[in-house]
Amino acid sequence: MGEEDIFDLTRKQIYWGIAAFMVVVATLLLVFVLLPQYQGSLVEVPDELRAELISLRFVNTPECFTYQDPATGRIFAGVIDLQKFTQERMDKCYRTEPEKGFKDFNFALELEGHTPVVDGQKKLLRTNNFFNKVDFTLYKQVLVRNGDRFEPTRLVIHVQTKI
Amino acid sequence: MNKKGITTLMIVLEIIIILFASYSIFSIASRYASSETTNKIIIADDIKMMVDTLVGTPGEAVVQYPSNISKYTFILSSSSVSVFIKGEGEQKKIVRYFSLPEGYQAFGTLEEKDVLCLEKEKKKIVLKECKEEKLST
Repeated sequence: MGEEDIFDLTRKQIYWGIAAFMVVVATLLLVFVLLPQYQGSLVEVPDELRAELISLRFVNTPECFTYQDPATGRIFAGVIDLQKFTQERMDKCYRTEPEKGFKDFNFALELEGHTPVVDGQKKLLRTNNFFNKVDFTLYKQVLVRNGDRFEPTRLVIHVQTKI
Repeated sequence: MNKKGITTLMIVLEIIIILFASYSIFSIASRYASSETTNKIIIADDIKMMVDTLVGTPGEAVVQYPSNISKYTFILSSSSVSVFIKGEGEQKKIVRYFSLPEGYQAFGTLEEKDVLCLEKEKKKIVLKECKEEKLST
């Protein structure tokens, strides 16, 4: 075996060593990073849609803020009863897990023209794990039942998706 | 040894390895796309969103899941929905959590039936097999 042949053999060994290492790295990357990402993209649902569906309860459910006629029991979808629009009611309407609920959707509600201002700041109704990280905001046209009057306004829903 | 022959052989070998790797990646990806885990995640997410929608619907309502789900078993409780295939391990169960307003209840199980319905009746959300007469009225 000549000197050139020995050099050739060594060069091939180094080449195949590097190639095998690259294949192992590529396989690990595929299994632990790319495929889970791909699966995530297959099952992805837009956050706006999820938030929109959860927030339907704020305007349509009498157990939350929706006005219900006490005599007939009729539910007025899209009509907010101002007497029900309290933090206590919010806590009963939507509640995330006390410890890990920050990973879930959380909301802060503002009823335009009807939100009290305390120390120069609007006092919003917040779900139990809302920490002022607003990812996006939803707006809903609603009527507010204030005494016997119905006033058109907007319900502003600040959404915190995950911390 | 013929050096030119060895070089050609190496190139052919590399092309075969690249083709094999590409085929493996695509076949694994397509298996992932049609895997039971993916289907279970999609169904569990859909049911969670159906529950959220029913909670936000005034009055009573029935919703039918729009595809065949006969492979799966479902358990609905007041805080979660679980989707799994009967006989498989606990770690393969897909669970999605939701929050109901106070006073609401959700319950029901369904095992390997073709069609699934979620029915809202006052403050109860029930998961069950669809009944034709309920859907047609």
